[in-house]
Amino acid sequence: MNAVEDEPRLTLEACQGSVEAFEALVTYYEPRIRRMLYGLTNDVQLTQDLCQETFLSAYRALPRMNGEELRFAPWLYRIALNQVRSEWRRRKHVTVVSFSLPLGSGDEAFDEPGEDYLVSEEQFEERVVERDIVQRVLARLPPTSALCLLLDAEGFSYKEIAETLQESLAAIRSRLSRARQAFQRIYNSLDQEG
Amino acid sequence: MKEGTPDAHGSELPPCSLSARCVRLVDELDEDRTVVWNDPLLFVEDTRDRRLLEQLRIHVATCPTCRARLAQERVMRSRQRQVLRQALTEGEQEVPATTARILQALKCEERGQQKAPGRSQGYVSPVEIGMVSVQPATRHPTLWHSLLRNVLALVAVLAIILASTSLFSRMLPFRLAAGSAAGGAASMQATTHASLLFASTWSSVVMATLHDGQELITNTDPISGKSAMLASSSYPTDTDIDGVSHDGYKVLYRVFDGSSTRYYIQPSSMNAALYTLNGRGSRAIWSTDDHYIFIGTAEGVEKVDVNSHSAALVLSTLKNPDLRFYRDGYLYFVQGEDTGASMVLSRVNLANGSVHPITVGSCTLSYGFWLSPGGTTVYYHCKDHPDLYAVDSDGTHTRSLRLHSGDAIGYAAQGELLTLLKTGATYQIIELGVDTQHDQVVFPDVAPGAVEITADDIAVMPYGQSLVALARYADGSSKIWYDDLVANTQHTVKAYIDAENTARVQFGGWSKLQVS
Repeated sequence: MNAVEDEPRLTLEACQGSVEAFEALVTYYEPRIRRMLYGLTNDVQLTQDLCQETFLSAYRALPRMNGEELRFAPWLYRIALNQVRSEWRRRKHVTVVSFSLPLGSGDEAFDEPGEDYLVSEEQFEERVVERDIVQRVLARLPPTSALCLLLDAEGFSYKEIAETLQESLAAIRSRLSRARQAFQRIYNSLDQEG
Repeated sequence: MKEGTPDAHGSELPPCSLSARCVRLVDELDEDRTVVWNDPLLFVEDTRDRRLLEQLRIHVATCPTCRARLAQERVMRSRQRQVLRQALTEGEQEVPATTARILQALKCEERGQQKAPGRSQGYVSPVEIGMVSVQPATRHPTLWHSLLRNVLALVAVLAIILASTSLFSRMLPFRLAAGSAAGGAASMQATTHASLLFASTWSSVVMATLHDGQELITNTDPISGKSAMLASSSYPTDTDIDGVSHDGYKVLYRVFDGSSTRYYIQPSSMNAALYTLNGRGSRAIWSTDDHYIFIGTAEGVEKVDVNSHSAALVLSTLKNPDLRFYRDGYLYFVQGEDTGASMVLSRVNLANGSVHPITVGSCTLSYGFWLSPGGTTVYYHCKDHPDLYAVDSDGTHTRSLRLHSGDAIGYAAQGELLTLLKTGATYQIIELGVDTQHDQVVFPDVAPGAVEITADDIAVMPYGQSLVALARYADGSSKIWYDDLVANTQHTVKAYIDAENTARVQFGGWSKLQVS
């Protein structure tokens, strides 16, 4: 996973109270945390709330952390995951899955679109359908397994995933392997349902 | 992302017992995701994996079956990563950036102001939660909203008449007009005209489930499968059951509508909120005699009379506490944030406001708190330690109770702690004795075949005769199980719930509201 340039220095300075350093970290990591949270919740409003709370919680906790040893990215993702888990516990597994119909599946009429347009429309529909299925698959997986898959897709190493989830490498390896198999089974099942 | 790779299982290649291990270690075998094997933080199983990897490298070179499986796995992995990256990228585009909002909040914190941008500003005006599920499809106030209020008012009048009838006999059925709500879900198990009896035994489980975009709070008999609806909410992600009263007859829950939080009790003859506060409220807890509930607010702790609905600020020194228990004049609450830094259970004396930490003796980040039925002992876990700890409820005599005992889930008939322990591939219920030699397995397999059950997914009946558990399976499905810990029998429970939403069950505890 690519980290922000000079992240150790920014982390150290943020721990020592530098708001500017923390703002630089926010600017870099906010899109990453946001899309990860959205992958886990599929809820725009909740994602924004949890994203804000993740960074505010990190900001409040930084003065208590050892800036020289703190690995910011795994720690931040762990806070984000804790936020999701807290919501998960609070709502006891209430998450939102969009079951909206794919765009273009209604009776909308087009004014004799050209062939190229139809091709691109089909591709667009296919992508929307696939995206919908992916969201539904992620929602059906245990949240930690879903996070594992997303972190893997983001390019995290096993060590970074293990550090984030505070599990052993062997546990991550097994979890990721199981998650991949489950993902494929559920995906194929939903895909066949149409 | 259709799977079009050849199946190594279905080919003419001979089976290989190491194929599954190869698949598990595919990333390391590919050498593009190498790990630092000399990391001092490696676990024992990591060392085993390192040896296995060395063996597999040699094995794969001569095994066509494993090579085929690995090729298949690489294709699947590549496709999954591709669609997941695509989903992440599109998700990032769908959710508006929050950087400006975060930076603004940081500036507010810097200045010590309390006006940080609040949560859920996108919510619109609230819709009343009803004893019956007559909710509009939209949250926007419309003509339908006015009609809804009229319907609710009519229902409230009917409920008052019915409730007044039941006052003459506690065992007369308290009828809930669930018909209109359940009409759209005729195939579900929930009864459409269920009655509730104030029984003398714990017989039902209060649970919240998601159905058709509504959060339904039902009272379900796990043996018969019958359910009666207690309430529904148009705010499915912001509705929480806070708990069942000690006498088993009242259910306390709260709804956050984006601007305020309302606390309700059901069954009730009135549809009005018991208490309303601005912003997102936290969990409320019952007093021991069930006459009051305690709510942590920005002004302090409010004590609300459940009959008169009158509220009194009983503690102004404790702002926004995360309340957990009340016993003998003490409120137990959690301090700290869920950031991995610290979390401690403390208690405050309501008479004089003095605060005393309870779980600080053994670790700075504790969780999973349970107060013993007699109120004398607090059980908890420490992060990064597998031990189960116990401490006297005044914060003295901290001790490590067990190692690898599982998570606390409730109590047995004589007050013995019950824990959920994963052993091999099964989840067991353990009853802790006076020492480890007297610990016993009281139920060997909570949910056969389940791959994940958490302590939060279990509701143990008072006195530990039975439990319900939400179990997740490898294929992504979920089931609710009923386990009789005395008769050692079990079966799955059909709930008033969408088939695709079984993972979204919130157990509020057991009640004495018998469904008939």
